[in-house]
Amino acid sequence: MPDPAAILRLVVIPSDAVTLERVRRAAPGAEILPAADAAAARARLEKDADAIVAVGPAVAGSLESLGREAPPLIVLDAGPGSAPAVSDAFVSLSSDLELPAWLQAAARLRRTQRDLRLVRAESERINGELVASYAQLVQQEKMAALGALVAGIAHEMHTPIGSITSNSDILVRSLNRLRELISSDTCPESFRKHPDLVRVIGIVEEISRVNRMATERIIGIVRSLRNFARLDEAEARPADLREGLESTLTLVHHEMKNRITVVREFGDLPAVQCHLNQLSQVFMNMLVNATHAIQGKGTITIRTFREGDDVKIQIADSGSGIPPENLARIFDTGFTTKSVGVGTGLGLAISRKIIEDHHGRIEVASEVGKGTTFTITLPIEWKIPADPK
Amino acid sequence: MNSPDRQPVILVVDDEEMVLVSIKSFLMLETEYEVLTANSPPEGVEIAKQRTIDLVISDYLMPEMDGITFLMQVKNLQPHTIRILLTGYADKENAIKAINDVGLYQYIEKPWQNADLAIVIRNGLEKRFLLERLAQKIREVKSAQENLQEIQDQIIKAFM
Repeated sequence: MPDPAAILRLVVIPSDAVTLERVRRAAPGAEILPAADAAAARARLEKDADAIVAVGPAVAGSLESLGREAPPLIVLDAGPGSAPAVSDAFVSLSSDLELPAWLQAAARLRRTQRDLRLVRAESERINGELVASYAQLVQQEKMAALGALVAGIAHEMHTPIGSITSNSDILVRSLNRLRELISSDTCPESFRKHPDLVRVIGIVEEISRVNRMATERIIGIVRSLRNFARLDEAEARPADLREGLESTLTLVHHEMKNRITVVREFGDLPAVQCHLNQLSQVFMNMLVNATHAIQGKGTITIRTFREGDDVKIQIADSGSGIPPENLARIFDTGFTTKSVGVGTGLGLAISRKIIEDHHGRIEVASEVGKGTTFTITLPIEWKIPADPK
Repeated sequence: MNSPDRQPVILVVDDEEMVLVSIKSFLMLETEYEVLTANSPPEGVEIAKQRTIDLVISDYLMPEMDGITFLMQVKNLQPHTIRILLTGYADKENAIKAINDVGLYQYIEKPWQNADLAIVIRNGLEKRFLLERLAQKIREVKSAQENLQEIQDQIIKAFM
């Protein structure tokens, strides 16, 4: 029995009986595949045929549409008038006797081309993976460097913030003391009720109140930065995930402004074994994505709850949703629908890796026009003691 | 609170002037303590050599000497001084270690709250003065006992 790979498969147009018989005789042993027109012939060539045998100059002309990557094409009876229509890559034969040798050559060429295409696809795939891993590495390095920087800044800010916090408190206390002093009988009424004095005290009071708010805000941000960039944790240790969520919310506050309402449905959560800084990065990614998904006003709902030995964190947005054709790919490295400079296509891929390092999983449900919900499931305690780092 | 017989003396040591000014201003406004400040640990040690310090507050990270080493030196000079460390968040673990090494009374995290600081200082001073009184009482009891012993001896001699 002959090797099936060795059998030539010839697409023959036109598909009338006379033509088919003519080719069958000229190429004994070949498999003859009739094709009604050029488009059908091309489809067959793409699939499994080795060469097209077109009979007659009129047919050859219609095959011009086959494109630049010239298929092995043999034109029988090309005729003198057909020369301009048939490109260099085509072979025009005038006699059936020449066909077999040309067919062998055409088949070899075709197979080599097909093999090359496979090799190229494979090397493109490997290259894509390499680029993605490299980008992920760069991203991780960047996060680590950023983390160190942020931790340093947060640390350096302690002293000045401590001083300012204390001072604005002292200011309020001094003001109260001043008020007591001037309200005593020893203070002349003309001074006590002087409009300028009343005004100045009012201003200082108001300023102090705002200073207090401002320093409280700064302290909150620094605390969040510190939690976010906590570099001193080499080991996964039990942590309150809600703390991580709150810190992250503080940091993405400016992205949401008054546009987005955050609804917290925090259920009772036990402390979860984790690298809180890494999980905070995941939360950050989810929240920023949710923010980008919402045009105009909207809501982000964060739910936390326990389910058996796991905890679940759900981040749901009322945004535009993800079309089904993209849903399967969103965790793939390099997949993004955002314009250049907005998304790297790495956020969700890295998020998934972090969650998997925590022996958890991340799932997505989405409906176009209604919104998207990400659900993160994490074990309270890792079954395996091994650390992902 | 047990009001002491004398004005409490507090020493604050930090290489940052802003911290010194903030703490000193607060204590001057809200308390009757005498507040001494030093811009560096050696300066603080000099003060501790000359004055009785009831309570010392030291920063942890300082150029010449860390706060724990400094507090250790104060401890050697004046063992009964109440020692408080002011630390940034990242130095917390060192501070906890120091609780045992230096016999730290308390550590306060930066940024601190004045109200917390006031309570820690007040409690620290209370401990200091209670211990001082206790020592005084013990001395009194001891001398009373000695007197008693002497009288007892005299009585015995008189009857012998």
